[in-house]
Amino acid sequence: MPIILSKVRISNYRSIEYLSLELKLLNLLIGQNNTGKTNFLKAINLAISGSTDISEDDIFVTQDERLERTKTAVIDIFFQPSDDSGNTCAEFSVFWIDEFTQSWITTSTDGNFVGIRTEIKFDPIKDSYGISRRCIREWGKSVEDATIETKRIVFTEGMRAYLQSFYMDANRDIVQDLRNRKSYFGRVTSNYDLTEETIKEIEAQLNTANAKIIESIPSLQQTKERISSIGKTIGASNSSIEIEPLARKITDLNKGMEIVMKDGNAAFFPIAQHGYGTRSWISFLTLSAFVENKNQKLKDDDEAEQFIMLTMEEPEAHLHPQAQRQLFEQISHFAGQKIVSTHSPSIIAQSSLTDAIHFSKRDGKTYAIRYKADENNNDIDKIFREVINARAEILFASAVVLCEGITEEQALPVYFTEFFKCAPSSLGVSIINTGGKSKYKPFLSLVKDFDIPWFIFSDGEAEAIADVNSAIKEVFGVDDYNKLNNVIVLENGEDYEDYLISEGYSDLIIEAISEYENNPSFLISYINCTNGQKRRDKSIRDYTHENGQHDALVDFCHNHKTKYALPVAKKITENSDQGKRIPLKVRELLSAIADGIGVQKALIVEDKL
Amino acid sequence: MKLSAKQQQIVEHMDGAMLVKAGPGSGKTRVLTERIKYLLSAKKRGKVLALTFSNMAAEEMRSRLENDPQVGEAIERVTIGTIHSFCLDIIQSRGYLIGLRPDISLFENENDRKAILRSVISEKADEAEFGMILQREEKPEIFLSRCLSMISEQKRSLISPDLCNVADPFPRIYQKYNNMLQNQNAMDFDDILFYAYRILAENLDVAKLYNSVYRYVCIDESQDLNNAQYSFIQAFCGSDYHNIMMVGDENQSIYAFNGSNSKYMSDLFVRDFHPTVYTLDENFRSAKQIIQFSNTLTGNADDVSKYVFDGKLTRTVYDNELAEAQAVRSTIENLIALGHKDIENPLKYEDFAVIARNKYVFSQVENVFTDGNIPFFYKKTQSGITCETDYMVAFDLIFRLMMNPMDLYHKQKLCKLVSQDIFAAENCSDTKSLIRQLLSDSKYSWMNSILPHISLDGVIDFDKIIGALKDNLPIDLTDDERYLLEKDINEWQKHWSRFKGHVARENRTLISFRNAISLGKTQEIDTETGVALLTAHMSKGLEFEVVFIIGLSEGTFPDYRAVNSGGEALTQEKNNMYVAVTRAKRLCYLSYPQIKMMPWGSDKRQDPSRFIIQAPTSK
Repeated sequence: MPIILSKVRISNYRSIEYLSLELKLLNLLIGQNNTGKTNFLKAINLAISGSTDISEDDIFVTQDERLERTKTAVIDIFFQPSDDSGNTCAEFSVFWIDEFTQSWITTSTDGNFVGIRTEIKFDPIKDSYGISRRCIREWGKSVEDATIETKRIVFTEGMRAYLQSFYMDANRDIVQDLRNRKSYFGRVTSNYDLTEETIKEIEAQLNTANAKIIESIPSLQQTKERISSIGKTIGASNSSIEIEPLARKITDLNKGMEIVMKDGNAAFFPIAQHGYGTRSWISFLTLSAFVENKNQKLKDDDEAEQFIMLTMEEPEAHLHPQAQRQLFEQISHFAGQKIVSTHSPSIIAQSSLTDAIHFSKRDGKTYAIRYKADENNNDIDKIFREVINARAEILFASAVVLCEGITEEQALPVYFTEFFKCAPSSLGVSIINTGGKSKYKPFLSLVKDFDIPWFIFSDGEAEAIADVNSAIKEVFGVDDYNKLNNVIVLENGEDYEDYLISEGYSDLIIEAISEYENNPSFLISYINCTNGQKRRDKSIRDYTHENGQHDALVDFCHNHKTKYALPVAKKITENSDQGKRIPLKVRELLSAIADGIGVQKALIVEDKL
Repeated sequence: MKLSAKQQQIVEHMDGAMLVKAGPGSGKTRVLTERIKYLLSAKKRGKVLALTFSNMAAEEMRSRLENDPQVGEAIERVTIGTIHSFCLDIIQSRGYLIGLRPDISLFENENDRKAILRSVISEKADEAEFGMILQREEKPEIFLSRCLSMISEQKRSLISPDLCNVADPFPRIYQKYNNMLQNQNAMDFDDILFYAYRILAENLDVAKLYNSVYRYVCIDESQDLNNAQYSFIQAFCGSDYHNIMMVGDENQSIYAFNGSNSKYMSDLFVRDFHPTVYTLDENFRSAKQIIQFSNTLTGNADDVSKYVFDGKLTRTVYDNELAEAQAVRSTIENLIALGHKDIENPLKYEDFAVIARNKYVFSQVENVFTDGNIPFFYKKTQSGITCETDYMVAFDLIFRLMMNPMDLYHKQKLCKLVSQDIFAAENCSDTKSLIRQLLSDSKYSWMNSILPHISLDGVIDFDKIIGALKDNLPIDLTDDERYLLEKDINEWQKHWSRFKGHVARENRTLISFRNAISLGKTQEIDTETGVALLTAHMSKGLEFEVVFIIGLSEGTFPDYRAVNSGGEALTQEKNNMYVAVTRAKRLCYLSYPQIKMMPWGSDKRQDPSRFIIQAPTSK
């Protein structure tokens, strides 16, 4: 019966001041670059592998803090017996009891477990930082609260043999692996279990082939004779020189090993000439081979089991979406526990929301949250697919701005750039159109659970406001949007086009559309065409009166919503009157965003109003 | 040498409970070791637990297994130790389940326990009552000792103060004594069994875990089990565990005074576990005459024809103790000079032992041996470490304080030693500064030099600590002081060397070192030379070519108190005799003095011990 690493808790390790997470069989780490995902993976590997490769740089310090020697980094891991699907069980199998022994196993009413605390601390006697490992007897509510055995113990033989942790970084490349004896490829291919007889036979054949090659190629033969004369000059009496086209001994075979790949009808090409995508993928597959190889050996001992933890960064590197999906399939079938950090929406779309752990960094500290399954909300996967299929980037954003229409989705980035002097993506802000009415909920659920700052920019129409209120009530329990300063709603029942016009941008709008259509009299044509006709709401268009042009513009904009959103926004931001480059309500939104993501207002050019 | 058929049978017994009745010289240790080897090779996984009576026996077994090429790495799968040592491990790792703290200290020293008991009885609050008790007593020291014995007895019977049936005020004294220990996060020797028992009995899943880890348990010297130990074993086994092997000999049960009883092995174990019973009664050690005589003690009627050597066993009466001692001396001298037909190699002093019922019987022998330049020694069995100098007493106290900051008793002792008021030391933030404060301004201040080398939870390098001591010895010591101090330091060094020998570097913490000393694991293995002077208890497990048993008169051996009470006490005396006799391989000389000098000066005529009536007299 297998085991699973079900809980981990980290304190003061690198960028992680404090983090406590539950782990499952498959775990996806998502988050922007540099949020501490690699540190998390390193911590896990350190705790499982029993390595002693640490230094004082591994201890977390805040910006102004000087490292005190009393400060320690702690990594707690918690193993439980499990079934093949990763569900925890009460008792370890006999095999694991034998390997962990009573030194490491603790019994409890919630089932047996093995808790391991790894500490990096300063040893005053050795005058350097070192690692110590202790048994956790009670997990407790925090690092300080746990009950730890005072006696330091080392991993048992069994633990060192049967607990394995593998790390694949983003730069994996089979071409590098080929040259490295210590890579998984190197280790699998230098593991010969041949009989003496077979070895002799093969080596004899190699020798024959070598001799034949040299014999058949005159220039080779000559070169060999020529360089043999070195023996005389250096005075060595019994020396001889050979040229070896092929390795002579079995143990040297992996030195010249090459992998060649054939694409359809093309010839075989060495792997170095293939793209990085293929190369990094193959590197991963050699790890699979390595693990399988080990598993084979275990089969001789039929009670034996292995615990394997695969920690992998960016499996999607250099691969196109379909290939990413296929690779992910292979990863999912990898026998063992997996923690994979990824930036790929394709990969995320293949898993379940409950597999995801969101990483973010604020003030130099790493934060990690797992999606909490809501008992009331059974449609987790549905939400997930809705959002991910729409806009997966939401999971990687530092802030999310939700709006209901494509118009706003196109226009807001323009204003954003004017306000912040850089594009939204530069600050990690995603401006997302929810795709229609009543669609806020799934987006809000996600940002709430992953603690991503969010904003809403909504029309002032009654229906739109009702949507907003219903969504924020259901997800956040707030019954009125006015109570939140991250929800900006247009007033007076206006929608975006109405609002722009009432803010006094009519002239600019007309200018923008005229330029775009290359038709300065577009409005007049429109009036002529549609005057007197019915609108959708059955009212009659009457453009003849004093405000006729105004009304006509309103109707025109409504009919062509998305087409002119961008040009109009651009025109507005290029306004000669600096104070009016951003509509007020939009400015309100952008200020709220600035506060929300902590961008200093000083950096933003303050327009005089 | 190949195992006999019977021995082989036992070795190959796999699952199921087993009782092996093994007489003296039957190769019991060998059989145990071989069985463990067999179990290790038969199963690929799983551990074996071997519980011995003494640390020496554990060491013996461990070194036999370690040095056996067939065992190799599998040695990791065997846990060998005394029951106390195994229980202490359980307390250290699972003590929290019954509210104990992990750094609980062991107060093994008898004097420490007495001092605590005395302070309990003299406590102000109960002075009116308890204080009177002590004052009333003619011999307070003896009263305290008796009280401590009673407390031990209660604990060995697994009776806690609230269930104690003894007349008042004993249960209250018992309770307060326990409280005082608990408040200082300390325990005494008997608590080790009691606490371990409670941990297993109150947490069945822990017992189950231990069952799963240890596939087989072997218990040696099972005739010496007491109530607490047997109950512990029962708690360990629960209702389902059967792979228990008990080895013992009821005729060698000599620890009744300690609460041991062979009924646990012979009756209760049989009733509770239904073991397969094997008997190993072949004596490969002793010669025919010795075996014949020892059979008269047990009532066995073995066929002795197969024994190779005839040997010799005689009894002689001498005029007085001096004559007896002189006879012993001349016999030794003759045998060394001339040898004996039944002994292959020439004899040396180490091949001789003189056994007596108690140490007072040896006084004449000591004198005679000294006069005749015959080297001799008394075998010691102790645990703990005794320091001659105050400096090293302070040294030990420093460790005690570092290990257990709540240890008030030893803190007070240290304060008294350095003549400081304990309250002055109260406001120190941590133990090291407390110690520094206590030691400075005293003749012990130089000992602060060891503090940088001590880390509580970390591994200690004791050699560095010793080095710090030696480098900082005060210059104003007298020669005598210096001599004793260096002897003391060397004593510690020896304990450390022995500790290092069987504990891996990463496990050498302060607590494990000090506890190993307390449990007697670091005692010197005897490399003493000369004739051994032993009591029957000290002779257990040993063997000598020639054994003299002196003072075999009624009233001495058997002891007069046993004669008076009869019953079990007398059986114990008989067993003592059996153990003594079966130490002899070839020659055994039994003797007694006709006249014995009493402590108050007069002579008393002695009758021969009932145990030697059946022995042939010498010509």
